[in-house]
Amino acid sequence: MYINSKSRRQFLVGSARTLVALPFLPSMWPREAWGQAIPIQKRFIGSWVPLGGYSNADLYPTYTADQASVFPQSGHNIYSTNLRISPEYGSISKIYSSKLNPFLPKLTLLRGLDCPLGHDHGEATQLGQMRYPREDGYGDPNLNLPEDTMIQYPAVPFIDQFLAYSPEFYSSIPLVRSVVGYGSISLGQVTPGNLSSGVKGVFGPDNPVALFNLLFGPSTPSVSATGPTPAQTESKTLIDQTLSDLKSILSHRNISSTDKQRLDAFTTELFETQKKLNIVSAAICSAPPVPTKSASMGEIATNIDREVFLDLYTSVLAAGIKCGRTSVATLAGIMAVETQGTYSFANLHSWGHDSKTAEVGDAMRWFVDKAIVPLITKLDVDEGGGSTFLDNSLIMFGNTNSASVHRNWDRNILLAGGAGGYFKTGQFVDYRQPGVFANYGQPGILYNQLIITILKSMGIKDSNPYLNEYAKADLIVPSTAAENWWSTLRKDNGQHPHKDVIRESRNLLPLIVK
Amino acid sequence: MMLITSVSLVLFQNCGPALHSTSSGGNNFLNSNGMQTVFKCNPQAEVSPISIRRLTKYEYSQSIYLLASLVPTAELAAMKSQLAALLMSVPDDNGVKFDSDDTGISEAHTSSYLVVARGFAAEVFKNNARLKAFIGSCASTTTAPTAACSSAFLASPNATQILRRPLTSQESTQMIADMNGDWKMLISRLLMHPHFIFQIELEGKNIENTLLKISPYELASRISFHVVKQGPDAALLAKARDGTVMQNDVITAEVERLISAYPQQATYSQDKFFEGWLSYNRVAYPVAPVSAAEKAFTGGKTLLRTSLLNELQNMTRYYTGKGQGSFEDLLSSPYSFASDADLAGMYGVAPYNPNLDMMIGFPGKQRAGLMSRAAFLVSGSINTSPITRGLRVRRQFLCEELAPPPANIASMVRDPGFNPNLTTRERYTQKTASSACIGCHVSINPLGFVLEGFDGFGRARTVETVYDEQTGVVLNQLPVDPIVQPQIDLSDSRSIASVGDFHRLLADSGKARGCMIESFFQYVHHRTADRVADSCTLLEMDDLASSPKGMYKLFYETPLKSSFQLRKID
Repeated sequence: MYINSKSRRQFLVGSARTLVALPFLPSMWPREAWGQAIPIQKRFIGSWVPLGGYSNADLYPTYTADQASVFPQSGHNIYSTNLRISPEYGSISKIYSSKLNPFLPKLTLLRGLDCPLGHDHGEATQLGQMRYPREDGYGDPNLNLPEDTMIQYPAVPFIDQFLAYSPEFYSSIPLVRSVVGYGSISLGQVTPGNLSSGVKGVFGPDNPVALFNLLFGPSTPSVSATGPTPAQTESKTLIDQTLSDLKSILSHRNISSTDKQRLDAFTTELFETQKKLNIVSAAICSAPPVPTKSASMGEIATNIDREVFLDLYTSVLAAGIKCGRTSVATLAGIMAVETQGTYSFANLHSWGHDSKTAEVGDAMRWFVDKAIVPLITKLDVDEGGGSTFLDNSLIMFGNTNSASVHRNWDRNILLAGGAGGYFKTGQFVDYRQPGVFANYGQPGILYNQLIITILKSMGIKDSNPYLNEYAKADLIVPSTAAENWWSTLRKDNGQHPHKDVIRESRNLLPLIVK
Repeated sequence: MMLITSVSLVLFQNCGPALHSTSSGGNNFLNSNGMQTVFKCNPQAEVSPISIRRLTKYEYSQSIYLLASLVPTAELAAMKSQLAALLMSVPDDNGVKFDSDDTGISEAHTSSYLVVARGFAAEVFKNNARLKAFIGSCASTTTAPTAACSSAFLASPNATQILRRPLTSQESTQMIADMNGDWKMLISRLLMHPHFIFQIELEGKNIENTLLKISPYELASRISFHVVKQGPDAALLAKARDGTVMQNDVITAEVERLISAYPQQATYSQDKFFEGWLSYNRVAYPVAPVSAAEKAFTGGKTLLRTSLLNELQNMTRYYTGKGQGSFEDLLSSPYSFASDADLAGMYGVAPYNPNLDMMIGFPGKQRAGLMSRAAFLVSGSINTSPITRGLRVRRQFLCEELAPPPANIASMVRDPGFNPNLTTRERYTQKTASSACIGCHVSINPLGFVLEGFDGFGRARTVETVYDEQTGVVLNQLPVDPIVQPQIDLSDSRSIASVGDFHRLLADSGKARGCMIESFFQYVHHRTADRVADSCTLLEMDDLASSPKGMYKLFYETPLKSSFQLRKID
């Protein structure tokens, strides 16, 4: 039995009443025409090494950003310079090794991005969610505020999940909305597009084989420029039949409201899968070989070498992006999840607390060399139209804490790629304002502005209400708790160090946008 | 993701009145074994609702493997190997305590279910031997299915096993009409059916307005998912078909048969409960001998976290699966279950062999009871974390909710300063002495201080060694003060001087058992307990756990209780 799009919609309205409140539903988006050409899709990859405790001297160039520009809104000076090699290291810095040298014109190094509120381990802030605890029960290790204080504010999803479900980012539905890599920190929205629906943890393939299966395995239909394959047609029919079976269950007299909610969620996701089956991509790509090795993260170093693991994982991920299977991904530093060996989380944690900056720096350099550089390299190949896949992408890398353990001001960020010509790359920009408030470092610019800038670079329109939410987070939360928290800062100095830039938190980061 | 809590000092305001137990407050009740309990049955209370739920990844996978076992034995290994690769794409569950707490469903779920369903059907269709075993002798890979053959299959025990209930004639007719002459489409459809992917209970008999006594097939599913975390097998479904599964003697026999027939799955089910209740994910990683101070503290030795978890697993399997004791026996056990040599060596005992079950008592009297295991003592540093330990007891073992910390806690939270002339206990006592802190810490600190007889590596000690954190030089050795008033009930002012006495107080209060029972209820019914609505069920479980061989009975006699066979619709 085949159910056409009209009857599916009727089914949705009739059987899943709670869904009608959704601002957008995948099944209500217009169907793509077979063979329709797809414009170049921007891509976002968020990556990080957990914790901090590195040395700023090791992370940043030995030269300084010394070209002063006036921050137009507040009149502050900010400083930039061309990103180039530090002669002492023959590379950007001690941590950013010479393997990045070929890509200097496509990189942007940022310093002085502040998350002044107390997020112990900072993971929650990395991808733009600054208010919601990740853990239950014992309080959030990443957030020094009581859960019941924080969760009273609308929780926005991490930006990878926001982009994954935004029609402003995806002009057509991808095969896989996002790859939430191993070591996930992502929070997705319970109902994408509904700000009040809350957030939930989102997890994805934690080994190369699972990633391959997601992007290229038998689950994914063959890409064809001429129309659906028999497998696609069968799968679509199968989903229609499942929807029919669901309909009869939903009409049962003993279905409760909670039952209905759970089956409605199943219905929604079936529509999503069916939507994927309608995709026809013009992208020319070749699937990578099936990874021959796999291991859960706890088994790395015993069952599989971590370098082999990263090589396989980044190869499959890059191929998936080039093939148009997905345009959003996250990738944690392997030390976020490795339980034993040199680069275990425990070691990284201990080194941070013990001021072993050299060891932290070694770990960061190792991950950048083994994961970020290969990703950059594999994406910096011709996509047509005179640009590479990297040119149309944005890879964001940083630590979840700053150089000071458990501190989140003066965060570092390395951007690779130009997001389709949006960014003015090849720069080192230092947003700190020297000589102010020495007790708390030199205040820079709120991290929120980086999030806003990334979202706009990915095509999110200025009118999108989520931009206000991402700008509102952190210091802007109208919270008594937050007031109390940063009151200590204000008391020391008579004014808050960010008082001038708070109101500008929705603006783009100065200097880096064309 | 691994969790290490670095903040070890927590301050609470106005804690006295806000401190409350999620178990009912006073311990003035006795259960049927004459022991203190926090539960009192209120027969007038309405039971709380149970909803349909998505199978966990493990349940889904095991149910798939069980169906694969319907093909000839010679074909099974090859088919399972293919299915294992497909099943990797099913997302992991991320429940806070138990896998089934994760009720969410994502597109990754639906697409992976599609992969598995189609892949399973393709595997069955691979040769005639598999197809005939799965569908029936009338089926063939070379000829189109007939209506009679399709109809016979849909009425067969194999089709019943997929949906865990018989198909209605209307369903069969529709499926035959839709299968388009393709066995693979029909098999895939059954595996994509909500009745396979979810545990759905709609066919019970109305007892009251919205209260159902579940059907025999639904009971068979409940028993099977509880005991072995998979759908019911053919033998159990046969008991559902003839209705005998509703009889207590049949339930008992079937539970024992399932444990015997699927030992790996039965053990997994037990282990997952303890993993959630005891929060294995919060067990810290033992400090490694990296810095000078760490080398001095550990003596250059390393201790694997898996060793700590193995001990808990051995211990809980002994008291539960092997039926060796009640909850109180488990709680106050004086035996080592450390099977790894490094941990056993630290305890000063020979390694425990889970295959022999020769009991190995701890030397002396310093170590006894569940919380004296290294898993609950290791701090991840060279120092102990008495506040973390105390909070863990209050929250995890007594199910007490503490008032949230004050809003400005971030500016207050820091470890007490280093002072080589004071013990950890003395430093934390000073730090929490102010009126703003002590309201809560009066109930937290003693439960951590009573474990100060063990260092941050889990070793027993009578003196606390203070190291220079830079050089590892011993700066001082200070006697440990073990005497505390634990105030398990806030009105109890009794003092104790040993961890053994501490466990006895915990056992006597009934609160620790009540807390475990609430976790068990959640594990069985896939929802949190309502202390009023579920009071009678909780008390039944409390009775089981406190009886001889109570942990085994709790696990395996629960399906006999009438509450196990009811469903309330919200």
